[in-house]
Amino acid sequence: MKSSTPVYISGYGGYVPRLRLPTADIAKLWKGGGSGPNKAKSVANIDEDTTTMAVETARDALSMSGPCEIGAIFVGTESKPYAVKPTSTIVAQALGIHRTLASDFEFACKAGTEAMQVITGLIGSGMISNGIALGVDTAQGRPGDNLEYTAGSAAAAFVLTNDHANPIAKIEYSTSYVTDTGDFWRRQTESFPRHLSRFTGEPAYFHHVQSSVTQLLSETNLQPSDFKYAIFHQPNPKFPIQVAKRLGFTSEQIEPGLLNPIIGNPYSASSPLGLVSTLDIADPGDRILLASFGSGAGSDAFSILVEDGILNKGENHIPLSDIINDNREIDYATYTKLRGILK
Amino acid sequence: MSVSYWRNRDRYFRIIGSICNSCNHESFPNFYTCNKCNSEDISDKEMPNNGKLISYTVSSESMPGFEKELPMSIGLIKLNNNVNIVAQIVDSDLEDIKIGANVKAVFRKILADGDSGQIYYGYKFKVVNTKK
Amino acid sequence: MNSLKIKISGTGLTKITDHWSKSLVDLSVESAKQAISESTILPDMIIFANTLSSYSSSQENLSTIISEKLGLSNIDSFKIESSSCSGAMAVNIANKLLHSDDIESILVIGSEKMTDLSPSETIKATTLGESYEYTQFFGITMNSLYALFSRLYMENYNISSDALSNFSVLSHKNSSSCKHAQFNREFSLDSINKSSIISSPLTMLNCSPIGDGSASVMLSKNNKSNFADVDILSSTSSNSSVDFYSRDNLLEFNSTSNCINKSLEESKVNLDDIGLLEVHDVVPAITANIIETLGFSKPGSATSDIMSGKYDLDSKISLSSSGGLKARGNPLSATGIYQIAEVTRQLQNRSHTDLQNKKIGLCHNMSGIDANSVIHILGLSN
Repeated sequence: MKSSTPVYISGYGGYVPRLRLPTADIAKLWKGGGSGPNKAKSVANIDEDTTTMAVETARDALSMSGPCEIGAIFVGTESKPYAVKPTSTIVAQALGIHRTLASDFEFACKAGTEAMQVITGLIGSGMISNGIALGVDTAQGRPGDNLEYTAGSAAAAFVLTNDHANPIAKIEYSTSYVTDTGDFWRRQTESFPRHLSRFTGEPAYFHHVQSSVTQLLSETNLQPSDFKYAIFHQPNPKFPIQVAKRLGFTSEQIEPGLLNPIIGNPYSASSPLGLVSTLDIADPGDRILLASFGSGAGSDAFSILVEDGILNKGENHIPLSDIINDNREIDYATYTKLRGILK
Repeated sequence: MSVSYWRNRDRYFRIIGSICNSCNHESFPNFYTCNKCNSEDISDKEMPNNGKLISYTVSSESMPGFEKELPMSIGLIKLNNNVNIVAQIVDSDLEDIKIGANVKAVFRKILADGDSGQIYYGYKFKVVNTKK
Repeated sequence: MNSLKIKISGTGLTKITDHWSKSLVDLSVESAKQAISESTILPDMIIFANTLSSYSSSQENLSTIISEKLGLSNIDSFKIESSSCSGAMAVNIANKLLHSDDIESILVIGSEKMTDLSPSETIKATTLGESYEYTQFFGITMNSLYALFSRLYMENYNISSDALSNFSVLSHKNSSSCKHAQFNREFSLDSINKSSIISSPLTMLNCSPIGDGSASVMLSKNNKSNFADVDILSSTSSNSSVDFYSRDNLLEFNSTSNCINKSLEESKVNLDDIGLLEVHDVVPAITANIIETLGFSKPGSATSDIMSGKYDLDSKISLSSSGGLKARGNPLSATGIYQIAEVTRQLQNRSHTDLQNKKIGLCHNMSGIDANSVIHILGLSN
């Protein structure tokens, strides 16, 4: 898919809560020792939720893009504080924006990139000039379940625009691939998701990511070597490394965007945050592959070309690595107090 | 309570106070008459979201609904426009909460009305720039 | 004001404690009956001072309910509320009314029931006088506001929290023999400093307690009681901003300073003449700041003054002779009336202390952090 008028990223922001739970603490309780596949995961504080992180990161993205007329605010999340009442209108109010589309998107971990796709279309059609796409989650894993090691919290936001004056990056092309594949789900009144263990691998993650990326490469005639960086959704540290290899991408290409080992999997923010991390170190002319995966299931793939504007991120921008490095460890007892409180 | 929250949400989300159009004096919360020059020519104004701590305390008792947030750090902040504001201080190491510390406003949950009521959001502050 | 001096012709007060088995009405009737009995007359009007009745007892129109329970009807009855200085404010209003009307007597009853509430509801109760929208809503407590002020005071004058605890030591020393006081025991400086932190740097034994109580005074143009005449030499009140931190000078108590100036002028009394001093001693730094604002100590010197014994019970000016808010107790709207009743009894030589030659007393009652101040100067008629 390619929009008829070019669409760019004019601002971006990433937010990771300060608190970290070492997976060794989880393993000590539930397995008697060892650790999870990732070293630690980020944990939202007692007064943080999807909405608070969305507001913070939207403000950062707008600070970078500068004031512009926003026509869409879409928050992709699977941990909405309200089952019914949009997070996006609270974000809009906090930004002082009212004449806008606003909606929450749900598609497991690909809701954020879904928002990027739709806003790209709205801008490309000329209906709006700018929009904010967010991927935000305070992911929960059932205590003692494998997902508990990786389910983390974070937010990423992108201001997309038709303004070609001095953009950060251009959305060159995108694809999307979906099937009905119930690898991971949560019923309405349940607190925690359920999943089908190893089934979440081949039939789910790998099939969909490989499908969307293969289609993108085919339709654009691009090779993996045409990309400087690649970001894949990161449910654990291993899957993105494996799918990269299968698709022909190297470990150097995926390294800047690989955050799961230190913050876990913040679901809708996972691959978007990898893009934030990568944009923090990218240079004009770099091409970036972004491929998300959402259970249910589907994958969005993007080809993004970095522009000169990447050199003018503004003095207010704090690199994601600084945000991630300013962390404080908590223990499992504190984690249980923070989890599920002030829902 | 929820209607009062709705009425004030812009003030809570964006720290909106007042500016006197006659003498440029700013105030938070908003005023109806300038308390410097008595002019009634007042407009809404967003306060700066940065400032310095001029006093602080750590409380071990709480208002109803805030029990799980103890101990609670509270600061008296002089914003960059010289307006003083009292707010919770969050995500800050205790040794960094001191007079003169630089603080920045953050958007946080204030209270949730149980499991089925509304969630109230608003401003808090956190200490920044502690590294040299 | 004309030259007429209104008299405190009757006093009544209950013990301050957790009165589990007494309601707000029970306590009010108890102290009111004492005041009526002492004065030997019936009131033409009842003014009820209270701030929490809706919140803690789901009850309004208590002035009329109490009037009925006292067997009084066909008189005026209403409530006065100005947060924690409601008590003294009610006396102030009664004094004004008696000066301007042809009524003979007004019964002022101040009552508060704080212990029917849960601990966190009690915290809210003490914070109701602060902004709902910008203080209560954010979970900021009254004690945390006191603590923010205290730290500013300490930084400004370079006085430690430990040294400030001397105010609490004196309060408990004075209340130990006062039957109606909430606390009847002394505490050492060390135990006050080591008590648990409520809101840093304030420790539990430095914060005025929660308790139930009622105090009443009968104000009248003529004294029909068997006790010596005690006149209201002046009754003044003043207000300032509610948010203390919005002021130009955060340590300035303009309400208190306006009040003391008006009081000294109205009463024609000098600070030197005052032998009994009751202030709104919620926490030590505020106590010190009040005493300095009133002019009894130089700015920053109240702590060293108290340490040198200037305000001891047996000195020229006795501070908190019944223990003050800290040790006698602070049932919000009753507190201002406890102060007045206690000073009246001291002057009449019928209190737990045996202080000689006390002719004039000053009672200072306050809401919030100097949002309102009310000052009464009482003196024995010559």
